Amino acid sequence: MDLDHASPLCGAGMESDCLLVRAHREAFALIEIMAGPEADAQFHFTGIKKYFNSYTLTGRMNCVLATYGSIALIVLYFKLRSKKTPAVKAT
Amino acid sequence: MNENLFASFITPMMFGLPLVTLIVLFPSLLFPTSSRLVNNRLISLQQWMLQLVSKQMMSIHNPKGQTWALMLMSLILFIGSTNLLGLLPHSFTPTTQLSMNLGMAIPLWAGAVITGFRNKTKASLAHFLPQGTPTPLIPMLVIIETISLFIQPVALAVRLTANITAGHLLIHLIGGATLALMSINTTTALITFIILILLTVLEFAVAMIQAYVFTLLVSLYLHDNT
Repeated sequence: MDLDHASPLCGAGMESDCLLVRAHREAFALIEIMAGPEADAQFHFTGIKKYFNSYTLTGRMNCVLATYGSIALIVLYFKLRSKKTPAVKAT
Repeated sequence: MNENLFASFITPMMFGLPLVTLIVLFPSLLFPTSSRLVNNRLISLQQWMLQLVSKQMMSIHNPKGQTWALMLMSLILFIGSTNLLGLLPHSFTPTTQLSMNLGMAIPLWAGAVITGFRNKTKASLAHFLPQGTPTPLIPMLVIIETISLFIQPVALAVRLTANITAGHLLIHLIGGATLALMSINTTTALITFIILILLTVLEFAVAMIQAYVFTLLVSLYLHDNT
């Protein structure tokens, strides 16, 4: 998409991007640098921390999946437990 | 006056047939299309405005995100024109209906989230855990981030509904107060009338700002997922 025309809000002689657009771009570029896959190489974890940490992309993903898996297991446990033990025993 | 306070929010019917469809489609008649290279003033102004808004909003996106340009521009035009038309006296504003705003917010948000999960599954899942979270806080933060994700479309819809509805109610109340005060105290009625004028100006701004905020947030959700 061609967006090369100068914004009418910017004065003559300024860059074609308004300050607001530049600020948006810089903010999103910073977020991408902080959280991109190329940033994972700077972390050197060993053992279980290599797969479960809150710094690398893989580590964060595994922590999230582990949390969801734990919640699913807890819900499943309580559902199965309530089926096995009836509320009133027949006499 | 009290029993008519919410009358303007009831969906209008004529001879038992709902007029909502016509009202929702009406703003599109106000944006003329052209098949000429050089257009008249109105269409040139419309194209300039569209270019300004699309440049502001779409420049942060990569090419994949920019495929949503038509959707987002249509969205801001529709919400903006609907909100502004609703400021006409005795008119019905579709964006005061939560059902309508949820109907816009949920598919757009879901589309952005599903796009993110399909194209960047790892990054989308990792997004649920902020970088650098201390280990004991991880499960709680994952749950909090999941809840905040699912709250997004509800917040989008309720923000628009509440802002427009509140503005209309205030105008109705202050207008009624102005009328009632005219026979009691003219000076107070004049002050109330000035407040009404200022409120109407504010509502014009709110109508356009809310359209921009809705579209900008959808654009940000899309940016997070593309």
